[in-house]
Amino acid sequence: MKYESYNDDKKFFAQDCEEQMRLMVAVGDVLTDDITEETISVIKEFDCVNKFLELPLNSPEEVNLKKIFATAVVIANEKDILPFRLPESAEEIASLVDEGLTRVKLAFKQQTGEMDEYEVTDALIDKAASLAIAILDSVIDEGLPIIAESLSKLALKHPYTASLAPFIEIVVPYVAEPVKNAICKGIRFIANESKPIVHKAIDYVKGKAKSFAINLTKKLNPVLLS
Amino acid sequence: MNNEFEKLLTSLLDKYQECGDVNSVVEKAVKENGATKECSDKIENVNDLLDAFAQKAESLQLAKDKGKNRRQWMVCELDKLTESRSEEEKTLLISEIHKTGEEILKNSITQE
Repeated sequence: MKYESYNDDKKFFAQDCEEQMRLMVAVGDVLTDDITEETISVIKEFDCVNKFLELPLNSPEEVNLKKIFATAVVIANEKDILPFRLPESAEEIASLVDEGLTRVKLAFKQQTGEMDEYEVTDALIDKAASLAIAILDSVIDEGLPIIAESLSKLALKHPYTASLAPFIEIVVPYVAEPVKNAICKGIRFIANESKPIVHKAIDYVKGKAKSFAINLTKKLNPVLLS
Repeated sequence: MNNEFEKLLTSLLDKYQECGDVNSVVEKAVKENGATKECSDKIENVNDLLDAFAQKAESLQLAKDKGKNRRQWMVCELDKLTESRSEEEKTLLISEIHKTGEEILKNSITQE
């Protein structure tokens, strides 16, 4: 879609972006529904991880644990001991760590009854919005091609969504057994809740592609279709 | 989980739990693991972005507490980011962001 005037169109733009984020959050959820408590063993319970889960969402202290996990995965990647493929750019790695730990926390809060599935979904969309604005802020002076590339990497959930489930699997072993089980259940629950939304999105995108093809054919061969 | 990675992560969490100073834990981890300049720069960039994410999340929460919704907050942030630009540049920017978003969505759905 091409916007004609920033001042007239920015509200529609925000609405479009919100819709896209909602769908991407749902896709990310579906991709994390294969995490099971049977395949993950507790290594060692850490109070700092338990505290992270119990703190309210977006507490200032949250960022410290995210930095510890980020440091570990970047160093491990350089030493070639990381058990999954780490995306290359700083934007993708930061997004992976932030979203991965946020999903673990939200799964825990959903299972303990502190948040319901609607609040969890809303929090994930808030998270996607704040990540997008922060990344845009960091690249706004670099010019359009860089902005487009950085946003693609961000979200895109491509390829970073592929690393989301393995990242969550390295976080979960650092909590107590019952908490681990609750997190795995919460992640699956949220993923299953998202499936109808994703299927609706697939129909929507396919529909858009189809109408684009019809319009293009009409444009190219108006006589044939008249 | 890979045994060597498990040791590295457990050691970092142990140190963080012990001293509570994340910057000192990160600095020591970089030195002790002989991380290259490229690796240490990447850690710094990632951690700076994590701070930026936290600031924006807090800003969104504050806006919501004051009765604004997510869209209003996004429009407000977009205005702040583009305030020194021409109307034409701004329009081009939102069109480009939207186009990227649609591409992302298509890619994501293909994976599903």
